[in-house]
Formats: sequence, structure tokens, C-alpha cells
Amino acid sequence: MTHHVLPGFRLSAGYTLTVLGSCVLLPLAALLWTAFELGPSGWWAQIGTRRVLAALRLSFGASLLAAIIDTLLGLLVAWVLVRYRFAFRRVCDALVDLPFALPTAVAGLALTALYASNGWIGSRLLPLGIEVAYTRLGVLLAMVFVGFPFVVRTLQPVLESLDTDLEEAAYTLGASPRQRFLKVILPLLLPTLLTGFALALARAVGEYGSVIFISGNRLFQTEIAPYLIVQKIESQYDYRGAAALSAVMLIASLLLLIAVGVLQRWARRWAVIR
Amino acid sequence: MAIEISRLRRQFGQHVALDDLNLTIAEGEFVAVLGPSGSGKTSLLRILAGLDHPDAGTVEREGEDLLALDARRRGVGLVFQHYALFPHMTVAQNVAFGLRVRPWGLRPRAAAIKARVQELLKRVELDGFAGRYPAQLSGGQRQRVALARALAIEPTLLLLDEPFGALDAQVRGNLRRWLRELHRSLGITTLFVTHDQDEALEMADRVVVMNRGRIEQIGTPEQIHRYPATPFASRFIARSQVLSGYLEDKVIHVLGRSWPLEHDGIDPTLAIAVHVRPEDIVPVCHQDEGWSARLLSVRHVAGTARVALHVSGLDEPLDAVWTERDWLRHGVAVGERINVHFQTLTVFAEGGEGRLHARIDVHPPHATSPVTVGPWRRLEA
Amino acid sequence: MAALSAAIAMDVRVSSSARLGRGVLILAAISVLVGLLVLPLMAIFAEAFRRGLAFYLNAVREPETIAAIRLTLTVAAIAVPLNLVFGLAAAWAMTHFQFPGKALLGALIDLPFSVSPVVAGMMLILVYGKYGWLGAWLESHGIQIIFALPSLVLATVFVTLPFVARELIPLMQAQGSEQEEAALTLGASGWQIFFRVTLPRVRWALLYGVLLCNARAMGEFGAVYVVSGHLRGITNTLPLQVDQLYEENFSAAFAVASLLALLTVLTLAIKRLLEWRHGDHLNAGH
Repeated sequence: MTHHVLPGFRLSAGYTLTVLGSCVLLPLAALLWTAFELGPSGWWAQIGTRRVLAALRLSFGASLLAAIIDTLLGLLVAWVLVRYRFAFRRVCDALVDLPFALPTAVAGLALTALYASNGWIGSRLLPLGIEVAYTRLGVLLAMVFVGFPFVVRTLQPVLESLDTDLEEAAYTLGASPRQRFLKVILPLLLPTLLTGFALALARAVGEYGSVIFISGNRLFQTEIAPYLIVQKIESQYDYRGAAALSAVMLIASLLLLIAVGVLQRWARRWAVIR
Repeated sequence: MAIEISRLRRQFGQHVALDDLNLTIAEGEFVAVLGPSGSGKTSLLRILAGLDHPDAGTVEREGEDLLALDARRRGVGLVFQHYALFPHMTVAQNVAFGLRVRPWGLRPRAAAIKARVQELLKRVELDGFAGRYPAQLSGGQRQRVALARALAIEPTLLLLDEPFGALDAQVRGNLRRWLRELHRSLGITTLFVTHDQDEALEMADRVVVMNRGRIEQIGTPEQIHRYPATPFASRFIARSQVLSGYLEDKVIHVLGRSWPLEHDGIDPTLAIAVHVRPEDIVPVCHQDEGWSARLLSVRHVAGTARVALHVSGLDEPLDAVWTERDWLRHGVAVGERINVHFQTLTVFAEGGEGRLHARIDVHPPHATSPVTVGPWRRLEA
Repeated sequence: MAALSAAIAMDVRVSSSARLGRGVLILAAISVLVGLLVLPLMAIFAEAFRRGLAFYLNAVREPETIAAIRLTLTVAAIAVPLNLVFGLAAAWAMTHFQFPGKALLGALIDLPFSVSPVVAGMMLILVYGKYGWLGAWLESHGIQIIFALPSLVLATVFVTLPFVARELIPLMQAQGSEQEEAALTLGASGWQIFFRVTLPRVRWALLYGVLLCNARAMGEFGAVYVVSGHLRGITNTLPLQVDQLYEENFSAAFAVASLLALLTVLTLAIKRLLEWRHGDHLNAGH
């Protein structure tokens, strides 16, 4: 037992553990317990149906794609906000947080209204043969929306602290603007880009409120996994099935995040301590 | 190649970083730009490297307009103060960078690049470190990688920004000698900026003393040290101290003694500043010679005795540097009195507007007999 | 000095092609922001007022909507203070002490960020529901959690758990324990140290965290959806009310949604104000 200099360790750690225990740990244990109780065959019976597999594929596929799009858009926006001074820059900066603060259900409603066949954007896309609302494209759009701030907000401080000496060094050594960006700046941002990517991904995989309105929840087509979990609870009182699916989502997201973490280690291999 | 800088001017708002600067650097020369922070030396460096642009003036390299060239194509090697090594690249990748980013056609083949990197790393004594990342190197090693990287593009002008500023004393001493040798063997025209007098005087062929965007003096280290041209150079380089003195009817009065000036053409209304170097304040044996002083403290550093003296008639104590032999011969203890003599006084005559009009070295004799001084040297300041 | 000159040099002297490139990038970024973020926000208000002000006011003054507003405020009023205390306690424990399992605790605090809200609700049902681990015990004592206010609070606490702690931990880590230790050597008690030294130093970051926590608490949908049973006028929070209205009365749904959007705009405005006035007290890096 180490000796603590400052008082309050028992109280603060105790309260922290109590809240974590009742709100996070106990429920988590219950979920995993219920899922494992099923056994492999029972588990597969719940997960292996065509409907569930289609939903899982959509959930993970669309959120991976959405996180990639978020990373690209986030890099652009963070770059512009940090590097350039222009009118309404502060307003633009404030706007980035909108998806953080906007209730997901409201976001879902708004996106649906915009992209429905009679919406402002939807009606203009329709003649081009592009349908967004009630298609997989809509699911993707909602996921891009909710994940967007994560990349911008993780990148901004790193971009701000990026040493201008490095760019100037590359400049005096003869590098073109493109070479300076691709060979110097981008590799240095890569670890942070991966962090933002992981956060956007985690958010998109679990997203419910903003997706279900615009997806239309069409069987085999636009059902996402969280929607199926709710369906199993609501209409079928199938808690075991819901728990099995929840566990799959939880574990799959965890594995994805671990994979990103490994990638991140590789991207930071140069920052070794002697 | 020779560089000619004329009437270079750079201003940031109200702050004048470079004030009509003129400087010529000869082919293969090793020049130090010495000045306190804010003197404009970094601005000069950045303009030469192409990272900043002057408001007026020209820089020519063998008759070619250097300022018209983009930093990318200027062929000027710059070693940054904090090295600016690319942290995500190995030592070899850092050194090869300048060759790899060349456009197609000018880019050497991979094998040639590799050979060149090998050669450079050998030159900076880092052969075994090609695969390391900068985070795995010591400060001195990083310095040398930065140097090799700048040399890789075969620059016609090499610039070093406070090259030893971020290193500890031991490494600094070794690296100074090593860099001097390297310059001798390469013969690249080199300009380095520093705020450290010892560094500039020890390393450079020629020293440029800068203050507030202006050049105060240009000269060899010996010239600069022995004959500082301006009060600033005198204080900054020779660590001179100011004595109170005044000029009256062609007679210089310092601390109660006076010497007639046998010199014409000096405006008697000019204010004068009298400077004395620490090593020119020497102890004397006879009680009736020189000025009486009280010893305040003594420190023994690097074979010298650095003493603080309170000279009668002066408010501020004076620092003096004596040899250990002098110190032992006079055997004075802290708090006791000793007579000292000023071997050389430097007198600067300044107009009311701060413009320097003349300077002269005075060599007062041991006794108080009148001396002939001069000639005054007019300065172009 | 060098930094200043560098900044000015980079800013003023740009070639025309560089200026064009920068213009294109700025325009692209603004398009992304407008297209992805501003348009949806405008769409909400446009739809809400489509049928006129009278209709809007009526929709907003429906008894069920009023009840939903009241419930949302109640849930936030319980969950946010709980998380405020949690954030302070967790940050105090995490930054002033070394103990085994500290890294694990840090990971657990962050966990709710990477759990789907729906899964969170599901987990609560498995513990506190009728057939859950504690279901029988709770029922025998006459306590109802799921499909009632406690479950709404629990679900909200779960999804907003990291907000306050995540703001405080980096800041307090950067500030170190020195001032607290100084207060200790001067004879201050634990609570005195907390209220007189620690709290004043982190108050703006705390407010910032509470603000974000509150916005999320009032707007939470997925987790609350699963545990509420959405009984009209009883367990419907504002976002749930929006969802139900959407099925029946499109414009009324948007009217209610606009209230939440207004809350969002307000939150962002206060957040900006905080960053602008007290930015140096918010970030560890500055």
C-alpha cells in the first residue's frame, strides 16, 4: 500500500468506483453474462440470421466508410481553420461542434427533411438519379454527420503546435508545396488522424437516433444493428437475442479500436524514447 | 561563392529589424554575425535563406540576384537553431531529403543518393547511425545530422542559426573545433549567427557585430577585440566598463586625473564615453601610483583571478581580470586596499544625437605626467 | 521575435497560385460546413414554422410536450449534478494519486464513449429490468427502475459519464499537485484544499464540461429510448416526444425538435463565450 500525501483518496476513488460499478461495470457484466450463457450454437442462432448479418454488415461497412470520409473532410476543415485567416472563421469554428451538441433524433429529423424526395437537397438530387433518404447513402450521410467533429477537434491542437521550422527546413532543401505536405506534414499528422478516425468510427457504429429516421429501416437493405437491438427488445421481448447482438457489437468495436491502436503505434514508431 | 548584400532593409511594423545593411562575404569565408537577441541577425539569416523577404535592398551571388530565386531553388543550406530534423524520418532519410525531392531529371538515382548519404554521414562522423530516428540521438548528433542534411544539397552558401545554442558546454567546445575543421576542408562560404562573443571570436575568419538592425563593426576577431569601434562593440565584445569622464579645453578628465589632448579638429562640445577593459585594470606595487581601490571579492576561474574592485570616486564596482601570478604577487585580501592602474582607456566621442564621431585609445603613464595621445580616428558610423 | 517575423513573412508574401489554392481550400471547407451542418439546422426551423406561428405555438404548448419538457429537465437536473460530482471525484483520484489499476480506471471512464447508447440501454435492462439480475429483488421491494424515471436517469448518466471527467483530468494533470501540497503544508484540511485551491483553478473547465454534459443529457435518444417504454406524458423525454410525433404529425415533430435545436445553439454560443473569455483556463496545453 502506497502512502498518499494528499487527503481524499478513499472518498474520491470510492465514489468513482460506486458510480462506475452501478452504471457501467454491473450492466456490462450482465450483458456479457447473458450473451455467453447462450453458448456458441445458441449465439449463432441469434446472430447467423440473414437479417442480423445484413444489419451488421451495413453498420460496420457504412461506419468505416463514414469514418474515412470524416477523416478527409476533417483534415480539410481543420487545416483551413488553423492555417488561414478569413471572414467568419470563428463562426465556422463554432459550427464544427454542432453534431456534438445537437440531439441525435433532431439531427436525424433534419437530415431526413433535407434529403427526402421533397426536401431542399433531395428534390435537387432526384433528377440526377441520386436518392439519399431511405437508402444506404442516407445511413452513410448520418454517420458522416455525427462523426465529423471528432476528427476536426483532435487535429486542431496538433496542427497548431506543428513546428513551422520543419516546413521551412523542407522548403530550403528544395521541396515543393505538395512535397512539403505529403512528405513532412501528413506523416506527422497520421497518428492524430488515426485517433480522430477511431473516435468517428466508434461514434458511427453505435449511432442510433440520427440514422433511423433517414434510413427508413428497410428489411435487409437499410437496417442497422442498433435498430435490430431495439426491435428485438420492443416488439419481440427477445432480450437474449438483443444481448447477443449487443455483445457482438461491443466486441467488434473493441477489436476495431485495438486494430486502430496498433496502426497508430506503427505510425508513431519514430517517436521512440531511447 | 562571394555574396554581396547592399542596403538591405526589413521592418516589422515599428520595429526595424535590418536598417540599410551592407556586407560583402568573400568566397569560402567563415563569417560570424554577432549580436544580442533582437539585433536583426536572425532576420538577415532568414532573408538569405529565402524564408523572408526584405522591404528594400539587394543580395547578389557572383552578380546573380539571389532574392529573385525562390527558397527552393536558391541552393542555400540552412541549419536551424533547434535543427528542425524531420522526426518521422531516419537519419539517412533526413539527409537524403533534399536529393529525393528534386524534380524528375535532376534527381540522382537511388544508388547515387545512398552513396552520397553514406559519404556525408561519414563526414559528420555518424556512419553507424543511418537507421536511427532523431529521437534516438543526442543533441550534438542531431546537430551534425542537420549539418549533413544541409550539405547534401551542395549549397553555395551555408547558414547556421545559433549552431551551438542548444548544446551543453562540453559538447559545444568539441563541436566548435570540429566545425572549424570541416569548414576548412569543404571551403563553403559560411555565415553563422550567434549571441556568444567567445563563439564568434573563436571560430570566425571575420566577425560582424550587429545591434538594432545596424552593423556596428566588421573585422577579424583580433581587430574587433582590440579595437572595438563603437561603445556598443566595446561593451558587448570586450566587456568594457564605463568610467565617468569629460572633455574640457582639449583636456580629458577621468577620475580626478587629466591628460591634455594634443589634437586639433575635435569639437570640444562633444560628450565622451571612457571605457576600460577588465584585463586593462592591473595592480601596481607603489602606493603613490594609479588609483586607490578596495578589493570586494575574488573568484578563480580558468587560470585567472576575477576580482571586483571599488575604485574611489566611482559608484559602481569594476571587474578586473588578473593573471594568477599578479594575484599571488600582490597578496591582497578581500576588504583590503590596493592601487590599480588603467593600462588602456578607450574614449568615444559622441554627438548629442548619439552619433559616434571619433574614438581613441589612451595609454596613461604610470605617473601623472602629461601624455601625447592620438591620433583621433574618424569613423564612418 | 523570430516567430513573429516568420508569421508575418508567411502571411504577407504569397504567390498568386498559392493564394488561389488557399481560396479554393477555404471555399471547400466552408461548403462542407454549410452543406453538412448549417443546412440541417436551418431545415429544422424551416419545417417547424412551415404551418405558421400559431400552429407552432400550439404544438409546443401541447400538454404532452409540456410534460416531456418537464421530464427532460428533471432527468438533467438529477443526472448532471451526479456527473459533476463524479467528474470531480474521478479527476481528483486520477490526478493526485498513484494506485494500481489507474490505467484501467481511466479506460473505464472513457468506455461509455465507445458503447452504443442502444447497447447501454440494453445493459441496464439486463440488470434492473423485470427479468434482470436485480429485477426480482427490486420488485419485491416495490422499486421500479426500468420504464420509469430512475432508468432514464441511469441511462443518461451512463452516456454522459465521461464529459466532465474528460475536461478536468487533462487540465488537473497539467496543473500538477504542487499547489495542493503547498496548501497541505500550510495546514489546510482536505475540504479546504478542494474548495479554496483546486475548485477555483478548474471552475471554467468544470463549467465547460457541465455544459456539454447537459446538452447531451437533454438530447439523449438511443439509450433513453430503450429503457423508457415511451409512455406518453409519463416517460417521454423531449427527444422521445419528437420521435412519436414524427409518426403522426410531421410539422409538430419539427416544432418540438426546434426547441432542442435552440438549446443546441444556445449551448454552442455559451461554449464559444467560455472559450473566448476563459480559453487559457480550459486547456492544459495553453
